[in-house]
Amino acid sequence: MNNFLKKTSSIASLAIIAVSVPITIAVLNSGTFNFKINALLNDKPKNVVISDISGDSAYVTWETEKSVIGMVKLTGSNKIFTEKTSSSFHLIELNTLTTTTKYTFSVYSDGSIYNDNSYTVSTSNTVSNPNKTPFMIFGQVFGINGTTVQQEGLIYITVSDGKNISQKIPALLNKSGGFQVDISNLNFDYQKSVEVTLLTYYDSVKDPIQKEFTLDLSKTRQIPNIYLGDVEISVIPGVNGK
Amino acid sequence: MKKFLIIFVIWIIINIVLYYLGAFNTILSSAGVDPSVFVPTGFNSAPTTNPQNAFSGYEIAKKVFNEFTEQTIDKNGFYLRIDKINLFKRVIPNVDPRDQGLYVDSWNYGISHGEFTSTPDKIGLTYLFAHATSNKADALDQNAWFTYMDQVVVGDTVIIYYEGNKYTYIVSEILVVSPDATGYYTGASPVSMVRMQFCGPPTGSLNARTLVDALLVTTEPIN
Repeated sequence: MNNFLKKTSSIASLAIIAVSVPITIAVLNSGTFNFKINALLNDKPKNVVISDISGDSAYVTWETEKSVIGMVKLTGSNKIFTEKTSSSFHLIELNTLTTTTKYTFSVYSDGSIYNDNSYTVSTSNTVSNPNKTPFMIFGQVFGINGTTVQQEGLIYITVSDGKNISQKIPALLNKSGGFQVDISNLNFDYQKSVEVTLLTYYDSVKDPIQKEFTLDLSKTRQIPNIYLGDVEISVIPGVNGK
Repeated sequence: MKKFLIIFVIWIIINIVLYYLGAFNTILSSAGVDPSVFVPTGFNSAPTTNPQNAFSGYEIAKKVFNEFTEQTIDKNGFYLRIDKINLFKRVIPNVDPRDQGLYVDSWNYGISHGEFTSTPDKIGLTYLFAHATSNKADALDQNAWFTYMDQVVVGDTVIIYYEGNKYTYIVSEILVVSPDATGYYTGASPVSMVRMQFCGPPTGSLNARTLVDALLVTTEPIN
């Protein structure tokens, strides 16, 4: 009788383990508990964007489900542009390009090479002035709950002065949720207000969040805080005249 | 129960010894905790007294604004350079802003870096402060290294050399604030920046403080 009980309990234990393993993986992978198993995530680049193109440089940005170090290689060139740290959000500046030239490139992700017909960049005929004083603007992104900073993400900034509109300027979020971009190459009056549109990608399976602000460049370089959740703060609390 | 109490007391003693040996920080780091934000209650609540020879590891600053060149600095040291005002001085790290005796003494050796604020190698605000005087003829005798900081304007270049790297900043904002507005004394910023503080306006006046903010543009190793 004892043997029978032992055998039965052993078989039952094995059965529970056998069933629980795939169920656990399925539950974790579903994102219900916001866990991600790196081995199950894809390293394939998605949302590959070529932006801020000038005569001698351009930016390539993309996302991956898996946190990896990304690289870009121009076709017909031995030069490889590499990121320093691994992330799910990738930004690489292609520099030392030649004016009015069409380049094709490959994206390297975790050892795999990806090619696509859209992986091309055509440089303009205008080279940016290397001696121009940078004009930096910066900001900070907070997460869905509004209190913790968004420590990973990709943001595209578009600036308009009412007459001219810039290309999309990309930036990665740092561990403090911060970002900064140089807008000195725009032919704007930097003593006036501009409209700033920010498109933030923060999760590879969620839609990006777009925010718009007016920024008086004569007074500040800091863009108002961006809240990815349902938080809108347009004015600091106070009473008129007091 | 007795065994448990003995083990608990030994554990407490080991932790206290490790803390004072500095090993606590190493353990915190290996556990993924930033030791700089781990402030044990009661250890950091009062200004220190002005210890004799607090800066004995540094040479007394020469009575010139332009004391160094890129060739004469210690590559692993900490320096501030602003070509616009011909300033190139050593920076004394982690000077307590609550201890007037201490920070005035630090100006004998260079410009003060505010304790509890960031450093150029991190995301955050690096806070530097020094004396400025209205009587420019006395500036060097008074160690008033920021006397000509009132000539710096938005768009000017500021360079910091710190532990092997050269950090280039562009002045982005100049603020005049009340001496009581201590909220500006911080190491927090979403991006890497430096804030340089001097008394005034008018330069040297204790009635106001001027804050010169500059945003990091490039980082490169010192050759």
